[in-house]
Amino acid sequence: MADRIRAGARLSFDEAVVLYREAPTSLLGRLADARRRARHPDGIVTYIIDRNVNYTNVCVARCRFCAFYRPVGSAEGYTLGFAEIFRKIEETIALGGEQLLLQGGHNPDVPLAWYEDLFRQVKVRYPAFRLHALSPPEVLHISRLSQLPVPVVIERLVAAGLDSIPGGGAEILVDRVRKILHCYNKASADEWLDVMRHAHRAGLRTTATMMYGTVETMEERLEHLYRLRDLQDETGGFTAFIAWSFQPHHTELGGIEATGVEYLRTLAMARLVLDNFENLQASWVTQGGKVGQLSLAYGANDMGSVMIEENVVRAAGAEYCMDEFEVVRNIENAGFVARRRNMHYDILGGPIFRERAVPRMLELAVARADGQAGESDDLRGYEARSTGGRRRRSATS
Amino acid sequence: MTAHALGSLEARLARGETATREDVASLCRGQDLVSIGVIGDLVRQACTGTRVTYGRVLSCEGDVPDAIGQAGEVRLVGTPASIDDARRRVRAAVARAGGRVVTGFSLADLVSLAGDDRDRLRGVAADLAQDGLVAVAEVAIDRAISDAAAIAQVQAVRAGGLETWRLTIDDAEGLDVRMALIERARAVQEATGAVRAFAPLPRRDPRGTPSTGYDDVKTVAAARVRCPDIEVIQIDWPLYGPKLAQVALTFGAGDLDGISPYDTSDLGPRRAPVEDIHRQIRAAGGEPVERDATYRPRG
Repeated sequence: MADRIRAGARLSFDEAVVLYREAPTSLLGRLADARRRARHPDGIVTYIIDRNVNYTNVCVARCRFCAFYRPVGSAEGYTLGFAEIFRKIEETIALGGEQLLLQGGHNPDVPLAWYEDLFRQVKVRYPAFRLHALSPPEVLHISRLSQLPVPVVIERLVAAGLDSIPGGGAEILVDRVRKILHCYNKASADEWLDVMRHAHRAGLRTTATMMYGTVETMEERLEHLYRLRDLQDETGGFTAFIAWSFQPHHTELGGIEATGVEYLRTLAMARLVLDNFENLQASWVTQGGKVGQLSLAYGANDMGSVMIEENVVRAAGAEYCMDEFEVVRNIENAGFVARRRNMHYDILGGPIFRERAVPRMLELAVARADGQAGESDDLRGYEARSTGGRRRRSATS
Repeated sequence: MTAHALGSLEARLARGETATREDVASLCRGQDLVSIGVIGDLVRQACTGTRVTYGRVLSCEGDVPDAIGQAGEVRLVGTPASIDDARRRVRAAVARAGGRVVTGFSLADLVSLAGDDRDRLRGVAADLAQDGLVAVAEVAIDRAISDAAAIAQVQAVRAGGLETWRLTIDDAEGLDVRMALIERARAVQEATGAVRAFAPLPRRDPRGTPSTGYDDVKTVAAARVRCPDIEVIQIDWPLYGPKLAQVALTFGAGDLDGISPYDTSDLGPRRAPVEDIHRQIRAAGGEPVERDATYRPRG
């Protein structure tokens, strides 16, 4: 089987099961590394400078693996205002970034018009700035809230300035798992894939993700990968795949985290199964900088994002940080050439800190400082769907 | 190192030959990390098979607490203010250790307390041994000025009756420095035969530019390959964290140190209960065996 893989053969599901279960980690690493080298013979490892902004933590989905969300009406709930988001964009630009990864909870009091207005204003103020925003379950949530079909929602968001869609919310694309995790209602496996299909048809590029290490079997992880591979065969719209392990702290589900070796094995399997994906990211934010760097020997060709800010994984206990200097140092220490990219994986150039002075960043920022909850005044003019939200807005209008 | 040279080294090691210093230098200059891991793992398996040992350690900066938990070793850490202070701490610890082996201190600190005088060092060791200390907890080889000094210090404390089972490194920035210290560890073992474990990853890491994962696992593999006479290459679990420590087990490490003596999951992953340590070892392909402070299976 190893020889067939080395010769570039496509891996069947049954072969993948055997390999994932039984192959030594070193063999998986060697095969995945050879595949990575064949796809990226130039020795370049890319990264992006962007910022993960979570515009709201209020969410009706209540996924059991999430430590970030707050229910509607919670005193700890927040929704950022436009001015806060603009400030974050300006800080990102100052660090050489050109994109926000904008995701948030399924907040019933944030309607489609709010996103449209936000995106339009961002594009007016920062025309070259990119919005990598709203994972499939968020798109679906907006579709349900606005009672508009997903393609129409995507069309309107693109018209307002959406550039690409992040692959969040995929978890494991198997409905048995999604039901146990309480994420089936936010999006079934088919619904998640369908949003991506519509996005690709609309000309958007997207990423794909997998959060493993909860209740799924190895076969279900592979099923997830094969569903992504099938859609990629159909549309070719995915730019990259990112896997990370479930972070259990402070979540309702709890339990223990999958190990570092399991991460490297899973990453290697993804490189072998997803033979139609160009790019695989290392998840240093969940694995730490060291295992994040080791990912480059197990199939990854991208160090992901400098992030600047992160809220969701931090809420579940992971607090790693790598600024551009650290990302580049790790890439070069592993023997690769570091290149800055955009979401489409176009090479933008070398490290920014070699072009001009950039302050070191030894910890990631947060959406809001602890204790600063509440929704911004911007939302007063928009329709709320929750009872509390309607009452609040009618009282302040 | 080319693929051909790697294959040739792998074959030589499989025949039981020892890698030369040049082999290891060349290995570590290369970027084929998985192959480096294969070589480290090959030597580890020749040394200890699939067995991965771990030690449950109660580290005490002050007095030994009432709750010793399941510790197999009571370890006194921190720099004693004086020889008398060191002796007082040892006597107090032995009285509360419930028969557990008590180890303590860094050899460099004892050398300093002895005024860098070998005879006095032997005397200090003899006094501490009389008080009940079994072994020096850390022989930080980077703190000796030369290989000869490191060897002489180990010989002096052993002459006083203390064991020196565990070699460590406090600071070592850069792979070249680490490689030189691996050679020192080899030299100490050749001269004394007193070492059972070598922890080659430095105990201090600059925050702004921490060592990289590549350099860490290369260091582990190089230590395993160059020091086949030392029983185990050790990783400090709480210091390096579960992720890197577990991956290091696939690069030649064979012992996890600093495992929590308490079986609770409330203390975070770096103080994980033993059940989780077993899971991590098995997921890395090893068979967990608990050891005591003497590096022998416990119970």
